[in-house]
Amino acid sequence: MPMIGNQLISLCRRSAVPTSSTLQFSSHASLLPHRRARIKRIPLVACRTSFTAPLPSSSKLVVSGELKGFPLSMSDFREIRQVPGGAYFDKTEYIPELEQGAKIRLVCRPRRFGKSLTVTMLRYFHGFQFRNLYEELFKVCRCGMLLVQDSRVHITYAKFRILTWIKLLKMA
Amino acid sequence: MDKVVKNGIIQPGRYLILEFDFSRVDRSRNLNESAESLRRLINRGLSRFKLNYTKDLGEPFASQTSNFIENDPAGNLADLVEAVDFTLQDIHNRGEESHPLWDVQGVYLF
Repeated sequence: MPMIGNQLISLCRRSAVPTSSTLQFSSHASLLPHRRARIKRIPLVACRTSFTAPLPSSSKLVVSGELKGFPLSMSDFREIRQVPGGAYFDKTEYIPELEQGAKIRLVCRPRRFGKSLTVTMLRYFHGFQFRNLYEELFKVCRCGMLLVQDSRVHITYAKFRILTWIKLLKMA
Repeated sequence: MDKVVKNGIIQPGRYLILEFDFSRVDRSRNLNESAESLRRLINRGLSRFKLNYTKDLGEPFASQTSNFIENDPAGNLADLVEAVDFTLQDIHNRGEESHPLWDVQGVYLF
């Protein structure tokens, strides 16, 4: 089976399919020579449409108030968190993992899978100009749930499904 | 997440963000048109970076990145990263701990 780095890939008609959700590149793949010591690394998160096997997820579903739906046309982390009744899968727990891992990563997920949302979330976390927004966007309370404005609540996917079924039964 | 930040394992706001959305490149059958679109997109991303951070990085950064060549986006990118590198290193060489960019690690590329 062909390999990219130390990752096995299988080939199908239209695309290379990595067996991992992220491909890690070695440090010598950086774009520019390091002439000075100050910038020690240039992390890269790239997105590509592909099919991957399901992996255990660290993402959690977050709903702002009473569930109204997923704001599908939006991908900006800050905007989505301000939508009343909007739900999204929170991937903030990946931030430390990305920080500790390889310098360059390629994230392979199908479209509508939250890649853009994750990228904007990382932008709001790491961006120098957004450091004052950390409390507003990323604050977590002691119990490990997201402390969110506008009475947002944190629920598991299972609970979400049950609530959805109850709603549907009531509507029927 | 908050625990990780409190423990100092990771800190928010430590990078200057450079972002390119390559999905916006025109996917033309004509390779020259696609290459031109890609060039424009990279230059636009670099211009946005300059717009966002020139105020913080100061005059030396602005002058170092003032001579961008439109047909050489890779060279422009190299110049920009080098200018950021130089500016951050200069802040450390001067020992300006009160400078807002003192704890900035570098460029985060999306």
